[in-house]
Amino acid sequence: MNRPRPLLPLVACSAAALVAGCRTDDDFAPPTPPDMSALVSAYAAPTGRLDAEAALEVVQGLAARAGDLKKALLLTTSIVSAVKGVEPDSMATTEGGLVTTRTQALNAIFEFWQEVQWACYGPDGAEAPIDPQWGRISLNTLGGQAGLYPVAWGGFERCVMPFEGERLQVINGDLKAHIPWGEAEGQPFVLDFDGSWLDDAGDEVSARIDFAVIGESLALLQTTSSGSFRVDVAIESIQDILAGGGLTLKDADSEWRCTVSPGLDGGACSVGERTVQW
Amino acid sequence: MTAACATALLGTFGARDAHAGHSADPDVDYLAETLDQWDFRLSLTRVDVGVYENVSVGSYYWLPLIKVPEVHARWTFFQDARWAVAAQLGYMRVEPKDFDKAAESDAKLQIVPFELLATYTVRDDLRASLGFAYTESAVSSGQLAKSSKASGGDGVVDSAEASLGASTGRLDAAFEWRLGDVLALSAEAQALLFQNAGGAATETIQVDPRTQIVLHQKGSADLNTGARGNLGFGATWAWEHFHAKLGVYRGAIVVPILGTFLRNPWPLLPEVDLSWRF
Repeated sequence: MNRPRPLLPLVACSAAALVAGCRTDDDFAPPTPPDMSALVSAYAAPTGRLDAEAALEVVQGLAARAGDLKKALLLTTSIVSAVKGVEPDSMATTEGGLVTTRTQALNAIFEFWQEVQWACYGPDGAEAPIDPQWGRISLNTLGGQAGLYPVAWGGFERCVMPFEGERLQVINGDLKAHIPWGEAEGQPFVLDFDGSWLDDAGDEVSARIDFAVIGESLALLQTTSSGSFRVDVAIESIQDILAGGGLTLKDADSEWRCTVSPGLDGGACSVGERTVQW
Repeated sequence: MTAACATALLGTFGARDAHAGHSADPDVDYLAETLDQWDFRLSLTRVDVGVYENVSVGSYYWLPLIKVPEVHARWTFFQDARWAVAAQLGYMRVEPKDFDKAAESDAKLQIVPFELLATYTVRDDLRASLGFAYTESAVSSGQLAKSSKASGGDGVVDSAEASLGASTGRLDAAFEWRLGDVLALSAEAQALLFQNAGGAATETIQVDPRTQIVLHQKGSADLNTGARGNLGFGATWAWEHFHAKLGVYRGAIVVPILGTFLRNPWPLLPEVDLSWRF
């Protein structure tokens, strides 16, 4: 028997690989999260320098986007309920415990991802029974030994939410959220929505909006001829922003406290000894 | 007492699995050769039979007796005056349902050991073997019981599914010195090349009535048990129908079939194997 017979080892290796494939990790390949770093940087570090001309341009732009602020508030209200299911504290008893166990026992590499689905309220609000016809919000998040990756992404799927009293809102579209947990702590909570919702006449219109949640305020990024500025409006003031009041305006150097007149056509901002009026 | 029991078990079940059943005849485990056609070998732990020219099949017969199917086959696919090269492939499966018909779990453990072995005849009385063994073990949980409470949390695990796998690679080396027609001395060594594990799981968790999370997790680890290899010496008496081997070895315990290296707390372990040829 001098003939080499390479077939058996080949078959044997293939059989071993086949069974090995029973535990393949490919079935669990995580999706690739979107890159929000440019948008987060834009909110964290505006490029403009405030003067009277820029202030007027920013505030007029804000007046034109008053509707955006209201929509941003609605989006925020909607996704906060969905996001609460994926925040690190609520995950501590599931993945957190597993991470601890594995890393103690082994020199391990560990990662996880989760798909969160949240049932929208529908016309009767939060206390109403869950009904699939009112749509849902889906969010994906990734994580590993270092904790949760800061970007969650997904979308609104014909999500019906109460809006301004008796009116309903139907939201549909993609959502990306940069959530400042884990290593991203201290960075802004930024949301980027691209989809459609109902306008004031109840017609579905396409819309794209990005905004940030800074403390108790919602922030919009206003780009002017002299650079970008971040405008922070207290959530409690959003519904009546055109009536004037206070807001914070962040430029490349400082955070300005501003007081604006009704209609947003006049006002003043100050920081330290410096004041800008328009 | 514990040590004595462990020693007895290791002797019975062939801790140095790849080398058990050793005889001065050429068709033994650590040599790249097989039983002659329709030759049977019955040892304390397994039975083998030559089914074709240079092909043998066998089983650890006590495993099927406890409803754990195990089978292995070896083919010496090349042989000349100096060299012989063989490949061996095995398969074992364990399912809880085989032991308990009422078991809810669909869990299944599958093990595929594979070995490629070459033997070189230095002189008529001196032979050397070198082999590479690769063992793949895979556990799939199937669908686990529904609606179990997540440990320590508020969520309810609606469903869960997991798979785990481990792979081990080792190098086997052996020298055989025949001192006559009956007696042969041997030196054998096994060295761990790698031993790692990976796993993945998917759980569906109902956080609250509106929020559902599908959590995917995966991880991998280097299973460093501190066991790196072993070295043993033995003497085999091979009469026409009865073979006996006595030996000692020092170092890692290699789990039969599974191929896992475990740390050995004892300085020396005995090795005993008896077999009948007919």
